[in-house]
Amino acid sequence: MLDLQKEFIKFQENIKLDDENQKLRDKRDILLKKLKNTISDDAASYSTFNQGSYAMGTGIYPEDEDYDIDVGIKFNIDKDDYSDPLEPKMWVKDALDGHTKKVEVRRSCVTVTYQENGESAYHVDFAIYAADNADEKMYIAKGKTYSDDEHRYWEVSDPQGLIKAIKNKYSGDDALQFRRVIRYMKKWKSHNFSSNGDSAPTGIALTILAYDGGFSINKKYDWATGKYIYDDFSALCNLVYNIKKRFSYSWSSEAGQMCHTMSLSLPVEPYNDLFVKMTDKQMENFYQKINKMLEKLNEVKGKTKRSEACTILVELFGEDFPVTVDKSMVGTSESA
Amino acid sequence: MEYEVRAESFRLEINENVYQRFSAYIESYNYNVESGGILVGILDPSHNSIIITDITEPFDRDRQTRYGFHRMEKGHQEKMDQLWEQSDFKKTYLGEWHTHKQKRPCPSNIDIKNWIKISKKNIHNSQRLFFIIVGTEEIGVWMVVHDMVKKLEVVEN
Repeated sequence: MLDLQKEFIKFQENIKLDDENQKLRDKRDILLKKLKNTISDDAASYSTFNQGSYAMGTGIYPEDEDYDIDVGIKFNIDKDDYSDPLEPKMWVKDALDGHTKKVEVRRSCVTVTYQENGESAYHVDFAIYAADNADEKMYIAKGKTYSDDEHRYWEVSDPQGLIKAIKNKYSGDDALQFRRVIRYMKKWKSHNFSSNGDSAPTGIALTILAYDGGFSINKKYDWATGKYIYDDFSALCNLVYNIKKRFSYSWSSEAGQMCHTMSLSLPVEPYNDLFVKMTDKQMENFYQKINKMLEKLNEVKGKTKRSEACTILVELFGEDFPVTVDKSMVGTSESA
Repeated sequence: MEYEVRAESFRLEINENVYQRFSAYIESYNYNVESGGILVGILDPSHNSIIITDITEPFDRDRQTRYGFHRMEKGHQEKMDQLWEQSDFKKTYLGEWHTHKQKRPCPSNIDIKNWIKISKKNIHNSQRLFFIIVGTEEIGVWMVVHDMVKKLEVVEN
């Protein structure tokens, strides 16, 4: 089989969105400064932290949609003193209002959207937490401005525990392979599902599929150099195979047909099912796409020409995957 | 300017710098002897295109006569290897070009036999190879499909 590690490494460099992205970092820092300077005197004191894929080291530039950075704001309040979780959300919303054309309260965060050429280019999501509670747990403020009481609530949440879990799963170069393979899956999703929301598995669902037994390190010790040689392609094949195996096939009364489905819990509080928003039909579609991916990856295994292997991988991942070729043999040529 | 040729479900693009080299032959070359070399470029499957980015030109070792061009391996192979390495291993051999003292170039029987022979070798990175003849007024682009030589049509942007 071909050694495609250089191609995968280059692919990852092309898609990764991380702390090196100065633009996002700058926007975040400007917003945090503005928040500090303009937040109402009525607001409680707070501290901030990075959360989401950016903080876990698994961020990518998505296709056909704007990209984001997630920031957590921990107010030193007891949720029991704020029966309306909208109140601390509005502290943040009011402080940042007018900074860009679009600052809005969404169900799980306050979002500041930046536009470029009239289109959404990227946004910063602020998740608002109550951090000083009697049970020593953290709670996230849920609800929009016009939500009824039922849709305004505090939900137990452990975003920092999640980041820690992902970050501490592996160390050193192993952790880098773990994160690379998660990025490949996220890019595959971005390339193979339409960008409108719920029909695709979320980035965190794909991350936890890898975290929760789907992924294992694939490396070989090289006696010549005394170093480990990583094989991302094999690690990816193994992960996709394990994801496929995780589905169960049963009758879905909701879809009126047999469907492949699964449930998957977040490994930290609130231990919610990460596929809860997908219908059984959408899960079946996810399964079919995973199956197709596995077939394509197996096809790659059979290729002896680098250009042909890369062409299949471009089909799976899009043009960020480099098309390399073997050395050309030009021979001779006679023309008249 | 990007020069394109469309055939079947893919598109061949000839980069401006390559097209300019061909134009230079059309404008200034006296065609007392034929010239030629290899076509080099990259595969872009996500856009269904193949892009010719470079060519090689005659080396001393090549045999250039009034009615023929015999390209040797040496020189062209080294140049190909160099382009391959400099492009992070993306550039590949894509075919042959040579000049004809004809306004609208047309391949000779020797050309056709040669192109079919080259296309049959299962050593190439690209499934599609191209053969260009630079005439005194026009250039023509051909490829070999099922052992038949097929001329590509020009699509100008």
